[in-house]
Amino acid sequence: MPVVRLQSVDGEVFPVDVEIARMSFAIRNMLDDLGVQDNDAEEVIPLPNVTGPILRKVIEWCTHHKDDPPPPEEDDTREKRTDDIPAWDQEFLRVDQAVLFDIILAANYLDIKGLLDVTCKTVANMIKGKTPEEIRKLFNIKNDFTPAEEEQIRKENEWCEEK
Amino acid sequence: MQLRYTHANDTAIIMEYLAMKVGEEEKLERTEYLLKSLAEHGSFKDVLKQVFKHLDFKRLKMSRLVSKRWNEEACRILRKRCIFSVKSRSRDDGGPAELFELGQFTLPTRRLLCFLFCKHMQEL
Repeated sequence: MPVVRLQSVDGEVFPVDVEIARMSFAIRNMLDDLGVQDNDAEEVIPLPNVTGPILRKVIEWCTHHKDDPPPPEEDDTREKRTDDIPAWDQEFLRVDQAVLFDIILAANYLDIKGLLDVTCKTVANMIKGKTPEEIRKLFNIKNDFTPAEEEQIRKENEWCEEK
Repeated sequence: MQLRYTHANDTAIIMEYLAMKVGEEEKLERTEYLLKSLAEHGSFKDVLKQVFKHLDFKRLKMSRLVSKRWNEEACRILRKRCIFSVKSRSRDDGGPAELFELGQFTLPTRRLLCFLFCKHMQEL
């Protein structure tokens, strides 16, 4: 199996099967643009915003999911399910919140749809069942609304009901 | 290290920052910074958008109350999901027409349909 070498920002180099690396659309485009051939095993692809430990996690996820069917087309008009995270992924994502966010950023940057999806589902599940104040505390967010602005949104929300 | 950013160019600054070789201590700082950025700032709009795709109508409405950034992004998703987009319209008789000033995102609730039906009958 042909291999590419991915280099993290901290200089760690990971040899990865091309097929697995190509699960990232960013890497796929890079390989295609560079016209990298199967026998260019020495080619090193620098990934300037993924650290070694995170890249290792991403590669682990991709390796486990390499035979997954392509994800279905998105429908923006309704919410996506969050109760269908596979057991392996749940275990895989049982990490620090900071690590989870780093994986999301890496999945977003590398454009790995499946991984982005499952990590965002995990964050969505963290949000569910929490009040705005609890969410702010969880993610360390400052409330930048004036009381009047907050009141306005509350009023708007009163009129928005689910069918 | 002093970290400064604005919404418009934080991606560039993060890229620049991460391209530097970082030590253990700075890694911790970096993680905290990213965490904060993810929660609050512009280049992470994409991430917030992805997360919000998994929230239902009720949760999205509630997410609007977290911060301005969250409100902006939640509204974007709500606009795509709602069936009625009720435009603001000035009225002088008060009453239920207040709906037109308040209800930005509305699914066809029974209450709204009743109201619209009554308005329609009145105008006939």
